[in-house]
Amino acid sequence: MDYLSAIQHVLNPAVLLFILAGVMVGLVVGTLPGLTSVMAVSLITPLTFKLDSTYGFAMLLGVYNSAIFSGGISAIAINTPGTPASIAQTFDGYSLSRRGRTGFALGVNTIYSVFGGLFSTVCLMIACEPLARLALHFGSAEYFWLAFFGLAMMISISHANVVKGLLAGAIGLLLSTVGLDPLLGNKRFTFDNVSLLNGITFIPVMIGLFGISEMLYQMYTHKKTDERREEDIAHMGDKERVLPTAKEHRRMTLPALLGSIIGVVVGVVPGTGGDISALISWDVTKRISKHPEEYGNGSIEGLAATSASNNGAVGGALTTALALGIPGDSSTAVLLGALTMYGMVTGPTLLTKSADFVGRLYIIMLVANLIILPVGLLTAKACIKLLSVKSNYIQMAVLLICCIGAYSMNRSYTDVIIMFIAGIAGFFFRMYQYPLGPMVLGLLLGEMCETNLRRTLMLSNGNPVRLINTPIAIALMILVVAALVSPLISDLRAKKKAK
Amino acid sequence: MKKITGDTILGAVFAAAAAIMLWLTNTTLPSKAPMGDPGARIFPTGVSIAILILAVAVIVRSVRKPIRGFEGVLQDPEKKQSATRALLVFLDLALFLLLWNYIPFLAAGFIFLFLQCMIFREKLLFSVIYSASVTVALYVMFSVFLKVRLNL
Amino acid sequence: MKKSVFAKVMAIVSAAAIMTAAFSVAAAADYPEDTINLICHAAAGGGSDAMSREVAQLLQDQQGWTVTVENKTGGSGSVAMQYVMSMNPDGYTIGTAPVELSMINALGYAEITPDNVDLLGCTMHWPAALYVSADAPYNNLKEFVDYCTENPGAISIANSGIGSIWHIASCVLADKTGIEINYVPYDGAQGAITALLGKEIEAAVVGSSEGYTYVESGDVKCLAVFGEEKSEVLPDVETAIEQGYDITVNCWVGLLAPKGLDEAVKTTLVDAIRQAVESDEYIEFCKGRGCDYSFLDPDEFLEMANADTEYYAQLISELGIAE
Repeated sequence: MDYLSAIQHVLNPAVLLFILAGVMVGLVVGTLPGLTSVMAVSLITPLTFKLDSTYGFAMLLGVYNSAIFSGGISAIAINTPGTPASIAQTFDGYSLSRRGRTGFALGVNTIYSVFGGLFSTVCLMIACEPLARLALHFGSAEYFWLAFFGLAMMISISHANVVKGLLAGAIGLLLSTVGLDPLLGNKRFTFDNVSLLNGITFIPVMIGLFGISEMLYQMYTHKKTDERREEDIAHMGDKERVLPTAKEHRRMTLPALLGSIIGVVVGVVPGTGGDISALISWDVTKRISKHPEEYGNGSIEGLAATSASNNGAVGGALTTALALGIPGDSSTAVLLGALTMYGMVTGPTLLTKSADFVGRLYIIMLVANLIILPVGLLTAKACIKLLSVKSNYIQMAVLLICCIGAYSMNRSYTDVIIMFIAGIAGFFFRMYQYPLGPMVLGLLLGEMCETNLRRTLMLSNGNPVRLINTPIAIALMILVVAALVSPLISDLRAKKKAK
Repeated sequence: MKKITGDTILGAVFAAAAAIMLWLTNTTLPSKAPMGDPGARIFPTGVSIAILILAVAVIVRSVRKPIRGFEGVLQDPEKKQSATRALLVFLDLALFLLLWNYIPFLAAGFIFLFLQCMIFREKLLFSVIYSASVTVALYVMFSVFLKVRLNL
Repeated sequence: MKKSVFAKVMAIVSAAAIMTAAFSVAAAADYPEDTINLICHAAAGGGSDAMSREVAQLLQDQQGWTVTVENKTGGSGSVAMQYVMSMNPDGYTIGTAPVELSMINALGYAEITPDNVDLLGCTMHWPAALYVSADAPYNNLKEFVDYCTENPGAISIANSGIGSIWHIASCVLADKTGIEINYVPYDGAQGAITALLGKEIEAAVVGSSEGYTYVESGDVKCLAVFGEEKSEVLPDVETAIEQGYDITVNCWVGLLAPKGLDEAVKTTLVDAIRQAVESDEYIEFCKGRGCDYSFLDPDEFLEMANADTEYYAQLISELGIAE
């Protein structure tokens, strides 16, 4: 591929300006809960048709990368993931923020999102075709194990209270069965409500569970928070610090690298993206970390791994989209649509037929990530200022933003009601110490788990051997078993030590 | 006899919900399925049973070692104030969602924020400016730039 | 006395009636004065969404109207269609009319039929096609049917989801050829094609436009197109009819409005849409997606939709889908 001419093409002021514009749009859309990168990309797509294809894609890829990155901003600052890809970032990012290290957490998010984005772009550049072929080895059985692996994480997310964690997770799983049965098409628990036919929409539940309930809970525990904040400010001399030190970087590099790799692989697999990859990265890096006890409690490693992982999935998703014409997620589906609008035929022939353009896309990806770096760091500075106003002012506005966000996702008032109910539920969950992560996990992965299990059995006429007759499936199964057994073993060890 | 805590009640609610879902699953969903497919019932049934078992475990634990939720809030005046405010904000939120159906977003959003400011005893002039500016800013951002019509 | 009261009332009523009529005529003449909302049944990113946005853009460019696209997904399009049907038939809310319009009533998802709405025109359609792995032992529909007859139940066919148009298409295939196959639903046409590429399944029935690039790359082959004539994107593949099987299944997308649209408004809308759909840009757009682009006017569209509704209702009840 001729990268020199591609670089020449991209490095002109107009293209850079379009990338910057895209990054800014993505920043706003990604930060607002309920507005996803899909929405941003599809909103911009018709506008770009009047532009040259390079300009158009400069803007679109800017939006896409930046929306995933900036979902982390609201996850860190207000414990509400801006996009589903940032769910795992709430675990550590928000704890850091509560300790007055908002700026630092936002800085880590920026730097390692860019790290993940650049890493995945490099993967895309050197191994697009082979990586995409890897995706084809993911059949129903592999999807089932992948989903199961994600579900097995319920235990490690809820280490403080496993029984309540599992209960919350099971409720999430049960909610995921609402809607049309994926294989038989009959209505399950829809109570003849047309809005429920497609199931309980994920994003409103997420907004309610995290955003609404968090704001109400903050108000409920108002006095205590204030004291803690003042205490923190007194103790933390480096509240304004955004950049990590060299020592902190050394701790975060390995988790971030691992997170990026997981991000790329999960991103490559169609239908799974940054949300699942970030969750898996959090779990995996926790297992190998020297400080697993910090995870979920403001671990910088956990934050770096998840930040890198969801942006790593961007490059992964593009891999399958460009090499095979199979969109890895809905955002890449819109991007593929945009490609066809420019007269390119998407599919396995794209890489050879439109090699020049693909080369330019790679360079745009690199540049977009590099532009996110300064923009993100400046935003972090601005965020500290913004969040230093009285907490009430933020909480009130966030409640309103959550309502609008839940509505605008699908222009659906039913979704707003779902968000409201999820908000009430989340409040009680917090009150009685039910971890929220497992419930989200159950709702996110329940259908994938059920559908693929049943589809595999359908394909084999009910023979369960089909679940483990490929190397990838066996490998994934071993991971699942390990994930289920290892907490038990460490529990036993801890008990022995205690004796 | 220990006092029943909210923790126990919540566990019981989940157990009851699971029992209802179990009943619904096995009365409303078809039992037959094509070759190989274990059917529409199996997954909800399994999950409901899991919830039942876990909920019972939660109930048992809550009796042995109760978690303090709402208990004791009313005795502490400081906590009572925060709790009252949170409840009022919650009611305000419910009112907003109701109003949103009938009046334009700009009005409903303003009322929502203004009432919250009142709950938190902000100054009147500030409340008006804050509520109006936040509502208008959000309206412009969503309606004009993101093309989301906010009037239901 | 009484009479005069009656006369007064009558006078007022008739005046009101005339005024309303005058208003509606005026409204029709000035239409559209405001933003038109186009409700799309599909999520952002799919073909229907792209079509809505393309048409909206063309209406904006050609007529100077402001048209915004909103996505309301769910229930195979019934959420969006129910919403459109509940709106005032003033021409300011229109929606997409997916092929599911002819199926959701039979599937029991919602009570919506082509007669419940005012169809504005069909903007895009593309036929189903049977894809198999490139190394499969059969090279045309007849060999495939023979293979299936010799090995009943050995072949599983992927489709784009239970009750979806491509599921119906594979049912029509089995119905008209008498073969015995297993239907395995996947998550959309992409999911079905991916499974075929990964050799998880023997065959897939999806749209011609959704698989033709993999034929070009040599990953899969297409045995038959279920259209009236050969598809432009698969010029070497014979239609099922040419191969002696009477199978035609088309996926279509059009536009609809709530029932009771004013005639003048309807004419304005239909003409504008026709102009958009017959423009070179739109034809380019459809070609890029591997779809056909002939415009069907409301009456032709209604006829086709009703014919499909009848046939699919019969098939769906015979097959016992979604019981």
